[in-house]
Amino acid sequence: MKQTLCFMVALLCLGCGPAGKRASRLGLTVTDDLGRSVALGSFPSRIISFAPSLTEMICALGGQDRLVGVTSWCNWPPQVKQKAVVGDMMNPNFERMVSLKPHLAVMIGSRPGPLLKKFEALDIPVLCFKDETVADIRRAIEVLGLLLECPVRADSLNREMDQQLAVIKTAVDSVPREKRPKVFAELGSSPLFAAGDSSFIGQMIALAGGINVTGNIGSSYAAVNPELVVKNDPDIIIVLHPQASKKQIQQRVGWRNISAVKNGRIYPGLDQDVILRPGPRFTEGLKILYGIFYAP
Amino acid sequence: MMMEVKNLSYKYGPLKALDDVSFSLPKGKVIGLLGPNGSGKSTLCLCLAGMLDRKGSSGEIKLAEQDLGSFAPEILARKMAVVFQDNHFSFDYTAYEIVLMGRSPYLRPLQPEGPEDHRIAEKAIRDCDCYALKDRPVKSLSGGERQRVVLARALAQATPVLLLDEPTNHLDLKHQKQILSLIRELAQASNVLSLVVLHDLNLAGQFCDYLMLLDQGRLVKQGTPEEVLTPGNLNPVYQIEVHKISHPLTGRPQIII
Amino acid sequence: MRRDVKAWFYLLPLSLLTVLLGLASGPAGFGLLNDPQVMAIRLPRVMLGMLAGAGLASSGAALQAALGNPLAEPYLLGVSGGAAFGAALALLLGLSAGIGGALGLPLFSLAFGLLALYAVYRLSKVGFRLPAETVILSGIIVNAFFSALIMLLLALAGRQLQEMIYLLMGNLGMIFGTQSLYLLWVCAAIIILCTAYLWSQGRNLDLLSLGEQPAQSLGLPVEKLKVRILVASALMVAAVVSLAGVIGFVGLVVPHLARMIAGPKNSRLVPLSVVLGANLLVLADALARTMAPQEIPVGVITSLLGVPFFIYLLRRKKRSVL
Repeated sequence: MKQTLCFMVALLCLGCGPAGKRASRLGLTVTDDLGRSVALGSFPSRIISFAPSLTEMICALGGQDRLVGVTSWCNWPPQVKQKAVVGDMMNPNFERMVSLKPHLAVMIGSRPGPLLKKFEALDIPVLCFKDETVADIRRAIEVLGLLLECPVRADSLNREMDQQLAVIKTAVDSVPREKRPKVFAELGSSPLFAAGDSSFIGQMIALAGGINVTGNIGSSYAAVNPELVVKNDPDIIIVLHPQASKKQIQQRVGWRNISAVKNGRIYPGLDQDVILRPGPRFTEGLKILYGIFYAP
Repeated sequence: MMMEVKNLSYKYGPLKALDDVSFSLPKGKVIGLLGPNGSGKSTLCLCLAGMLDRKGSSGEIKLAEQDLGSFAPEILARKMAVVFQDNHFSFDYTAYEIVLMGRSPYLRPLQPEGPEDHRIAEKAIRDCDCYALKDRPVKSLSGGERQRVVLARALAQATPVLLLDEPTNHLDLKHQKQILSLIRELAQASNVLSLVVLHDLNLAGQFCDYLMLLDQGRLVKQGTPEEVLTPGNLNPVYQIEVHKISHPLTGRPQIII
Repeated sequence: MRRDVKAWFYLLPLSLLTVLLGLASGPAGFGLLNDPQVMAIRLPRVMLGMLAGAGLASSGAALQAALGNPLAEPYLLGVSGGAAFGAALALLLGLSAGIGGALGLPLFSLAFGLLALYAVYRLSKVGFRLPAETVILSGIIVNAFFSALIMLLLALAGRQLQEMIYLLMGNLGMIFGTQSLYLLWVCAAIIILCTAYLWSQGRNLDLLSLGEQPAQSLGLPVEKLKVRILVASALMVAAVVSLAGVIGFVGLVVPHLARMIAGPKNSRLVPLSVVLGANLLVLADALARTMAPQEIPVGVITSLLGVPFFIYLLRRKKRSVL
């Protein structure tokens, strides 16, 4: 992806390149994670971010001044709360977005959806990023770095991430698999909601050296039968929603003999923005998880 | 007098269906209610059965000296049985089960039917000539068969008053005669008062003790068949010229057009 | 009478078998009847299954008789829709900390279930009668109305969204979230009392099915009785919806099955429907629990099974019309 972009830019600098309607001195074409080619007249200076993780990335790359619109869920860094709110994935406020005259919108998605089509219909150039793996995070930071004209900063951000990952990986690799704690990540209590291995939190757990007891539920997220938790006997339960307290979980019918419950290793009240969000701070989330798993 | 009606009027909104109707019905008689379509026969039947809204009606209806409206439904059902024109069954009860339902006014909710109830139901079903149908699902019966079953149910109710809204509509000749003879018998043997809405003037002439002629909600003539079934009375009401002859056997008035 | 007495001889051991099967089924493994923890999870669920099946079936039987219409069913009549809306609204307003919090959710469920029923009643009344066509049409309208409202709630829901969706799909697993099982006992009490009442009204239900005027002529205080029966039905449905969400088709299909065995007399039909309904729902849920590690809502299974049965009924009707 990086190479494609560089190649394109290089071509243009040589005077060749796609003669688009908006081609000016720098005709950019970017290919996003869905394989869509998007033509941009120049480096965008008015960007709408349609995902909190992308907002964080843009700010981490120093591009907060180019950010003109954010979602209602965007809360980091604190300054973005002053920005114009354009709704969220469920309730997008397209009128607002159009009034902000954006050069570019960035959003999260793994396949083209109605939201994407709406952007296209409104003639707003939009890039769609995947957010399912660590590699997706790195790529998003790279692309954003190029668009924000700070590829070096993006590179160093990614390298920092890699370093922190390496540290954790070394620590985790030193623990033989049998000694790693079994973890149940509860995303909802009514019905009982859990995450599979393919979900982001599933990967976080694995990276932090845990074994996800609901790993093989066949999809990223699903409601599960509480028996499954009893059967797989997690050592740790992390509670990623506000609807159940530690006491309530300990009092759950039939869960009394689960190791996590017996030993009181239930952890509610975690910072979900850092643990669940596939953004530049995810390594902080990893550290929190590692701390819970190995050094309570 | 078993039933007394004084100045009964009934309005469906702005439409006056019954206009100042008054009459008295004695026990043990068969009274025929006649009139063209829209004359108010069914409305009168429903009023007498206590089935219509109080707010549309004015006037008095008394059953055994008591105001009709003062009867609780369970008590009224022991005094008066009604046979309706249209009988629609949504479920497959057997004919016998339907007839047995006629005994419900005498039974408490959890009380099962006793041998006496079965005896009465069986007699009723035989009297209406549907004993052969008793185990058949009622939805599979023809219109006429269903009508006889419903009549049997009314008979099983063993009431001193019977209201019948066009009970012979779907019946063949044999059963028309049978049913009306049965009603006459009930009147004579058990003192039952029957009010029968009839379309057929000649059946009315043959089987009824008294007749009432309705026209556009008004009771234009009441009396014996001889008195009521005359061209003078019938022509203006039915808007057709009729002629009266005598039945060769009974001497009762018969109408031909 | 022979046929349905025979049926009872089979049903009682079958019920025992069904309960055992229900207790033995689950993602933790088949059997495990001696594991107290697993049983502690499965037992309330099987109990709820029996109660919900019983309540929905008897409610359906009573509604069919009271409205003189074999197609009546709490789902089709909008009662479930109203009750579901009430429950969803309670969720949105935070009137219960998940299912099993305050009484807010069941009360809302009941209130809106009764409201829906009343709406259908008023909309479909023609003079004295409740003709089949208008009842079904009114049911569709009321259902559509509450469905639209529910969609509005879904759009407004933030974190309650998952819970609401499972509520709408009918899921016996929601009982797990209750901290104490007292709601289950209340639900049981409601269903047992209402079913007992409906059974005691067996003959009156038979009379009602003849139509309002014939029923009145046979001594029934028709309006009063209809209201009581409809309220009893709605109470049961609301109780079920508040604990298990919307489970469709049970109230429609089970009375039909029972009628095929025992005939239409309600004094036989009601208890048979109750037992059949309880068994069927426990079996359907056992299936739902073993199909996949994820929770498959039992409402999905009952609908999938209900539709072919409905088609079968329709074809039978068509043939009899010919």
